Amino acid sequence: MTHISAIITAHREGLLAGPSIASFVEAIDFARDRGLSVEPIVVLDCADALTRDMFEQSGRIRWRLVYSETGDPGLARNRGVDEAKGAFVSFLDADDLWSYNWLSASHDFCATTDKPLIAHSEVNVIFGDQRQLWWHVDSEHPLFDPRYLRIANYWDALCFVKRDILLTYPYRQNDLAAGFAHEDWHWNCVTLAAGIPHRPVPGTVHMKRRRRGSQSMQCGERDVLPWPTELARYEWDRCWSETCPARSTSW
Amino acid sequence: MSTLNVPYFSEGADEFLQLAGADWDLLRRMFVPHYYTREVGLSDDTEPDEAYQHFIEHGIQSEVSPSPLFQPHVYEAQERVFQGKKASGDFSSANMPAIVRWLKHPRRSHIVPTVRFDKTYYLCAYPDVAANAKSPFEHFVLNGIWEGRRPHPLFDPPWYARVVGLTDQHEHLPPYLHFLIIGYAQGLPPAQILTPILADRQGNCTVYLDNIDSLFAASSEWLSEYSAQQFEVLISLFVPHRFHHRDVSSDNADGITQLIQFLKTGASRGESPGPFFEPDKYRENARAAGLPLSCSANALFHFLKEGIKAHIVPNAIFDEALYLEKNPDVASSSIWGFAHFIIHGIYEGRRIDNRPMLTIADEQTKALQNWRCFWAAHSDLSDLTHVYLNDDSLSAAQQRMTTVLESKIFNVIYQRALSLDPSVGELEQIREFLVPPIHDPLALVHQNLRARFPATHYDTIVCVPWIRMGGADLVAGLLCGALRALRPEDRILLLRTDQPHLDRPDWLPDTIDIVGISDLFTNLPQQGAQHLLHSAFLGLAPKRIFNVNSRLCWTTFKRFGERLSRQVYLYAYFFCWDQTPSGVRVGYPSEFYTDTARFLMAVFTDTDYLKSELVRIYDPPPAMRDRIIPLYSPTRSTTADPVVAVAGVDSAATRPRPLVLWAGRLDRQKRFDLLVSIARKMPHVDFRCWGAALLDAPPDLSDLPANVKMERPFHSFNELPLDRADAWLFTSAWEGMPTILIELGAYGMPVVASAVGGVSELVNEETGWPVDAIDDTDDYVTALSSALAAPEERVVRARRLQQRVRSRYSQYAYQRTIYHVLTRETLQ
Repeated sequence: MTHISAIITAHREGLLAGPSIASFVEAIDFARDRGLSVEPIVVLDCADALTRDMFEQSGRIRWRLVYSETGDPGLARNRGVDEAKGAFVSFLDADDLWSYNWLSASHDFCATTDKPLIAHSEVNVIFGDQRQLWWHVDSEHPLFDPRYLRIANYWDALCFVKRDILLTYPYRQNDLAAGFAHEDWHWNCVTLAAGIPHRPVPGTVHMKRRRRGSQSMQCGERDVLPWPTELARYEWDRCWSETCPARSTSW
Repeated sequence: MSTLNVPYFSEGADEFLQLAGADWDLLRRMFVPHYYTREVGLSDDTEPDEAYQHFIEHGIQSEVSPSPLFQPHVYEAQERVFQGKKASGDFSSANMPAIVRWLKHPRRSHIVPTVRFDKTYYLCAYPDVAANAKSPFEHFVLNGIWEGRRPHPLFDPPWYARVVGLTDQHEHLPPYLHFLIIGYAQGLPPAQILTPILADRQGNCTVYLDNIDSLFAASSEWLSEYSAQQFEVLISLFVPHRFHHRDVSSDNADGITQLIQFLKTGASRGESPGPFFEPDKYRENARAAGLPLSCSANALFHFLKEGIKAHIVPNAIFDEALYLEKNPDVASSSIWGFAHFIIHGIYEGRRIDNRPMLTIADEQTKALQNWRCFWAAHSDLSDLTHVYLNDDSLSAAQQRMTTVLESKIFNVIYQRALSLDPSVGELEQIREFLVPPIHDPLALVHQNLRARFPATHYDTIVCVPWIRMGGADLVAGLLCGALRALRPEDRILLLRTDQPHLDRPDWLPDTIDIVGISDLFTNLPQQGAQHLLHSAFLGLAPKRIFNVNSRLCWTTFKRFGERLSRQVYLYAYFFCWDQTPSGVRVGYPSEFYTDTARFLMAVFTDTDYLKSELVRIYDPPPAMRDRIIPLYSPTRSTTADPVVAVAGVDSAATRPRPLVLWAGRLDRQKRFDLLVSIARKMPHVDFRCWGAALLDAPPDLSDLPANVKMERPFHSFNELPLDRADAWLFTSAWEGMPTILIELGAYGMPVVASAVGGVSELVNEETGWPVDAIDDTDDYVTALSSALAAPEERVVRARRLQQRVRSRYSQYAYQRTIYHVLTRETLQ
């Protein structure tokens, strides 16, 4: 049985994919060294020639190459999930980096419970056109406020999650022309509203590149929003506090 | 002051009446209407002159202060001191109010009647005052407070104004008065350096202000011995709970109580004010600097007198060189780094070493949060964290961040990432440490916005800029009333988005929720406010939203409307264009129609005229054209029978002169200047007018002709002498459909009106006397003369006018139109 399907999605990252591939391989090797079986999958979605070459001609690791023409980050991830056989799935964008311990530490973290769970890095180092440290908060903390998701996102897409959850809650396609994108923010709202906690894995880090022209930067420039979800409605607050009575007192 | 009614005092009246002119002037200029009206429970709308009149007639006798800067008990205590010094008390009479006794006191310039002003500090800080003014206190009250001068080192006007977000609407209230009247009740601190001390407080707002007074009083001795800068450093060193005074248990005394005790006795007993002052370390550093202290010397006093001058850091926590390296702007200034840090830097989130500090977004709490984060990041340096941090998520996040970044695993990961991609860059260069939602300036506003709504869902939201006295405000009330009548079970919310005014709640049905949110957005950029309003729309999940002139709603529709319209039916009202002084049309129809028409379910206009103008200018396709719906604002009055014109004509014989009425805002649009010109040309006619300036600067009313009488705006038509007047004059330069003409039509009043906008849909040659040449005084005079000369015709045309209102501007017609428009929702 495959423990983890490690999916890297690539589009037009070109040479920037080099360090990402190295990080991808490093994390897989580290996990395998700890007895975990890891299935590497590359989704080349509308990839340009250089990016294709980066993966097709890399001899660092054996992986499955999946070609798609969705032109959409969420659908590209869904395509990878369709191909995945692992109990867990984790995503990497082809210009970002995982910490070397990401796959093993997240697996250890998630395997301690039978309950559904979505794991994130503890901290993201933002580099490139911005320089920040972004901390992932724990939705299980008593002071966590899900209502903030109505105006901003808490967690990025480089999560570690049971494949079943991704099959039940696939990413929704963006519609940039209509002003709807931020598929990761939308997916976070959907899954949290479904009662699945989002939790940081202690001692893990993602390096996230910010560059002009990237899909996430374009979203900001185009003033797009995530598709509305039930979490957007104030009446949903009651559902949230009912799932955990202790929460209602802290609001 | 000659017009004031001087009150009668049974005793002491002579003294009171003998106030010199300069004393009257001082009293008037000291008087703070906003303070006084609150103290005695007068309406916020009370005019300053009315409030002052009330003070003179009633307030003085009841010992109500004219200003928060006159404290009778403080004056009386000082008066007793002077009486002790001078046996003769001719200036003192127990029956005289304290304020009068102070004004008449022969040595008034020596008596400061409040602890909220420190004379010694003021003279020292502002040498020009000593040279020019006979009394520093009077200088402050009359001039200094308006010039932004500080009354005390513990009140910082620019900082306070920034934190509170004092805007133009507070122009009449300088920061110090704002604090003493409004701010203290909200628990706002008077200066940044008091923020952590006052955050740890007990008691209600009255206790809070009393404590501030006690603190200021306890400061006065220090300020007579130490400079303001030395005193500021002393206060900045003080950290509550660290200080364990023998008279005060740290478990039950709040921060300010501890500080007062420290100032009164603790410091002189050699207590340390907090972890920034380590007596032994200071002695060691002073000795090294060539300023040794004797064993019996008070280290703190020595530091204040000598150490500050010599820049001797009194602790082991702070490294001056490292701080200047981390903060080059401080290094390039002449300020001492340590003083900068404890007075400013710690509140600004500056770093004294390599430990990261969370990015705090909320302006109001930023200073306190940064202070807390500093101690959370440096929990190894003191035992403060257990006291301050508790379950505070922010401080916990700060501690967690520090722990992680200092952990071995993080540094291994970082180095390996750097080896894979050098562009990951130096960790040292990262300045922003973001923990959502703490870093986000919208987060707290979003929370507060959510808390404003009494319900979690509404069927209909009506957005207005405010509820003042305008026609659009009235229409918003009429719309809410119609929606309530059509859908009795629906939940309706009226949302005031642009300004807080709620001047006419009587215009709104009492079965809807009315919420103001403009204050929440004061410090936000428009984009942020739009984002939050959009989130509230999604949150409240209404079936429909009506925009009745809310600018924030218009810009939110423009930005998010297309997406919002997938879930919510959006409607909007257009009234009329505004005009620039050169006559160019500006306003919402031009600004928003083209960007929003495609997704609005209906665009309401209050006239056929506006619809035809939109169609003429933009020539929208038929489907979009059909969604422009003229919605004639209904009269709120019952049609009079007989028309009031009959009574007006009948009463003419009992009146010596013809009477013409006029009412409106004294703004450029309403052309009150034309009324004045007309009145000058018709000296045989009286003109009674009602109005006030709302949007523009008020006109000069000091030179009105004798036949013009100006009064404050009326609240009800019952207040107007319609049945004892001959005609109504309407002079607007541009209009949609003025609701006042509809109401006058319902009464059956003869109307002479400028034929602008939609007015001619109501007032024409059949129903009144329209004036086409709207800038021509002579045409108005001609029309008015014609009306005044034909009493029978006035009645005839008034009846036709009333009939027009009855048929077209009725509640029934209004509701029927809305009903049909709402029916379209179910057809979609």
